Amino acid sequence: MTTTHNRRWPKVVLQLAFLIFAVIQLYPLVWLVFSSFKTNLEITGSNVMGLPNEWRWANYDYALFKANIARNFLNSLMYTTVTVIISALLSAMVSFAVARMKWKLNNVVLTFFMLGLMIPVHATLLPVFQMLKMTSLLNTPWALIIPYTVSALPTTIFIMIGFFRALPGELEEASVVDGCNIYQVFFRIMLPLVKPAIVTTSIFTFLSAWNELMFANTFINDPDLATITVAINSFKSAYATEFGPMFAGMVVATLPMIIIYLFLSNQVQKSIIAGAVKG
Amino acid sequence: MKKVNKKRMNLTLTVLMAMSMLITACGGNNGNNVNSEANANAGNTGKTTAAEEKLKITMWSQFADPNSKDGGFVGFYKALEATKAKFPNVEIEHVGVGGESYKTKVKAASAANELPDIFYTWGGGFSEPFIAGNRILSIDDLAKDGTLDQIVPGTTDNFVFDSKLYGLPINIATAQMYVNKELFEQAGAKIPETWDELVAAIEALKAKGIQPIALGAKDRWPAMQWNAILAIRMAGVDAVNAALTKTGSFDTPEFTEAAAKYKQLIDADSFGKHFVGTSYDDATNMFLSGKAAMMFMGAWVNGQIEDDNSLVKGKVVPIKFPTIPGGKGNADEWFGGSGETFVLNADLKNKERIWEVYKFFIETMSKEVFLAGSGSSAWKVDVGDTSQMNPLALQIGELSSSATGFSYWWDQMLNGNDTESMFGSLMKFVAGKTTPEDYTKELQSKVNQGQ
Amino acid sequence: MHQVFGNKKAIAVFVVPALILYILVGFFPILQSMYYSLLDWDGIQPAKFIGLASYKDLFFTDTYGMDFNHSILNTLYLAVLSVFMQLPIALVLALVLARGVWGEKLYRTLYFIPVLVSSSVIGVMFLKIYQPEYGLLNTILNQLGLSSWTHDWLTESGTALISVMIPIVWQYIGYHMLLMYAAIKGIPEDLYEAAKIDGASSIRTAFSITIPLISPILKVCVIFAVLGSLKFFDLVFIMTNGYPTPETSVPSTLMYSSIFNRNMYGYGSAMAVFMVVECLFFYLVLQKLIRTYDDKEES
Repeated sequence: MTTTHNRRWPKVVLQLAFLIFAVIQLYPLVWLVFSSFKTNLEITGSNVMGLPNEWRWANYDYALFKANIARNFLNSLMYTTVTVIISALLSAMVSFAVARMKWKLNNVVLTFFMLGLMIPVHATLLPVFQMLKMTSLLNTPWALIIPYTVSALPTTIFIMIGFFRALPGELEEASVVDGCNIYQVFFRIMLPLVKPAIVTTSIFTFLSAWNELMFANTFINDPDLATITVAINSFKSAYATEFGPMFAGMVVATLPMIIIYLFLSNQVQKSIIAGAVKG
Repeated sequence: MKKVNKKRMNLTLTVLMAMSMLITACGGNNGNNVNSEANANAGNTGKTTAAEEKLKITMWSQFADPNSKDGGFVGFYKALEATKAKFPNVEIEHVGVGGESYKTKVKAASAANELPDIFYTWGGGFSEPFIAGNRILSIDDLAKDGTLDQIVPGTTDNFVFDSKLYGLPINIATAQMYVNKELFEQAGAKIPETWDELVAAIEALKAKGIQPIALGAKDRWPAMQWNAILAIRMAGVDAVNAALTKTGSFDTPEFTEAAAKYKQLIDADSFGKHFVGTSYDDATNMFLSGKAAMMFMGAWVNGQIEDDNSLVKGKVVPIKFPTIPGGKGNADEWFGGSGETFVLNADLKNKERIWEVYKFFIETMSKEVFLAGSGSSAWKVDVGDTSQMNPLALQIGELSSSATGFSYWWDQMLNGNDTESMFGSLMKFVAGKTTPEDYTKELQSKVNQGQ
Repeated sequence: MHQVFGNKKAIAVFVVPALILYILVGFFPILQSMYYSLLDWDGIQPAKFIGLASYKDLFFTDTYGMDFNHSILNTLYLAVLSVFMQLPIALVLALVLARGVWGEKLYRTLYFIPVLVSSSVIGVMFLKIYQPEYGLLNTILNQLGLSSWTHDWLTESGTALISVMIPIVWQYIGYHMLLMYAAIKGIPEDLYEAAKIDGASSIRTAFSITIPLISPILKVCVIFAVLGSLKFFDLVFIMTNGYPTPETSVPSTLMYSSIFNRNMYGYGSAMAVFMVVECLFFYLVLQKLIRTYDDKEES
């Protein structure tokens, strides 16, 4: 890239490569939106990849109004938001203690939390069910928020520790000299600095909680508390799946994630600039 | 499960009677029968309904989508509404979970002892552990209130364990050959009644570039259906039922010949070249869009075939599966039966009251499912006006009214573990990795290893 | 200084709340699975204690013809693909995007879309791409006159495994890219300015400054990629459910089928426990193996 003549060509080639890859990456979303307007016959054979033959808004009518997805949508939004907030705070606290504080067991505690990355989720269904039954939390929002939070912890902690470790040590030492206590160091100095990590992990936590189906199906019976994944899953029947409405429901479920992703990933950028000013 | 075989005979005879009753009842004399089942039930419920406090009943089912056009779903929701209307003092809290997730939910809830009062289940192997684990209420005593007299005898076979009854049947589902008449005319093929005619039709269709048969083997159970009906034709229903209930064997010359016939069809590209990688949905829509001329499938497709979106509406006729010369089975032996129903929680309080609700609900659903075109009723009810019914369902009712034997879905007769082993061997076979001889030997050793 | 950062009470305040929740809902299931794995249990009826019999059957006898050993190999293969294909691609994208390229924001958004669109959509889409009759792949090959190259991609033994793995590797490129991107964005600008003054090329800057500085996150990515591969489930479940066995089966699909289809809770739990031990082994080995920039400085 540093050759003096032809400096432009590599850039054009690079842009072209980026553009092609962008089209590939965008395609699943386009495919989903197209499919949400199609009939079963189109989706299962006659017109799988292209534009719908006819834009069937009836699929959206079916998914949104007949199936009353709005309430499930709000439930999901509530559970996911609470999960994101709790897990981000708890993980940041643990990560800070493990990465920046001095105690003997810190690596043991880290490995202990990492065990959570290793257990296959389907094996936990019954034990978690029994735990929730014992604590009378079944069929309440907490029956989902707590497991979602816990399953987000290992991933989030692991990512955050990487970020905490990458921070230069002088910052906190200087702030202690300035008279900050440990809580002030954490909340006022460190948290703002790892904001990119918090935002990034929040995206992941939001994604996995929003898309979760097995726990949502099993731990909640009350239709008024059900999540959007459960509502979409109800378009599946044993012998005839209504693909159009199912995809329409999925479009509705995917939109908030795109909006939240856009919002949060801009936050990553902004927080870095803000952090640099403070630092 | 051991008692199943003897009772099969009953089923056969009485289904025959009941079906002819249904068909004749369809004719015209529905004037005096408008509220017949409501009246019949009034006697049972009258003594309890008046001054009772409200009773809450929890119910789980796989019928998750109230707007589905699937006959089973339509029947379920109509019956649910009718039950709510009939028992104003009873509040039914229904939770529907779609697809395979339902089984996961029920199994987890069962392990934690959190099952609802009434739940949907499959008879035979699926229910075995629930029964053995005391999760399901035996309704032997409750059903002695005369209910059993209203039921087509033999339809309860899949709900009987150790001679005790655990559920009332809803409907009798059969699998039959669906034939696209238009495509057959184009190819100049005769609608087959024998194996040779079937082979000839396949060749004629292939010569015209039409795929003879739609089969979505990727989902495994459609591939099982062809094995099952060929085995029924070759070995007869009794031998098939014996093998499935571990009182007989899969490793017999007839089973092997059935597998050889299956292989003959596969090798002739009767199912196309790609059936192993084709899903059930893809295969069904191949048939619905007129790309394949035949499909051997359960009656649940009736609704889709006659749907306004279907490209083959009015062009399809159901037929009995062709006979095979030299086979022990005849054309009136069917793949199907009664196996899906609702059961009651073993820890039920208010048994008697819930029983009344349950009975009414099942009977109503059996009628509504029949009217919605997804299988005949397992109850001796007068269904009333059938003029609006799916024509395919009516024709199937007529065809099967002369049935002499039934053998039910393999993946429900067998328990979960044996089902997976059966599917494993079957898929190796249809992919051409094992010979018919090795396949039937493997079935016997893997599925019936307990013998 | 040491007093402030060694404050036991503060450590407890930071760690204990998460620890309690995690023990109840995260660690307890692991113990429970270990216990289940010693039982012959269908999930409902009273269980029978059988010791390590399930483990022995899993690896040696294989009564049920599941070929668990082969499924482990499949996931190891996936882990190799993830580390040596997925991560390098993600790293290159993150490096180029984060150091400024026209349309950075747009690309950053678009490249993450496969992660945002849930696996159930990606799975169904790839089923349609691979579909042998009308799927995109075979259609294109046929139109190019390459009919002999067409396959029943997901069901033929030769192509099934790689066909399943391509979407998996592809879907999570965006995931790792985002992690790396956030880490690169966290590097103070002045470090780069020094390099610029020295006249270092972009590639040299990447290797001498960026990569060492984000090495803690790269380590996280490698460990996620490996552990994620070893217990991978959803796209395999949606696309093939592990069939044909053993070509596309993975330990998770076999475990799911053992527990929920075959009603063998003990047998399935033995698989789950094996997966935990396997993951723990790889986790510890990788921790030792990958000495990050940070660790070196500490030691």
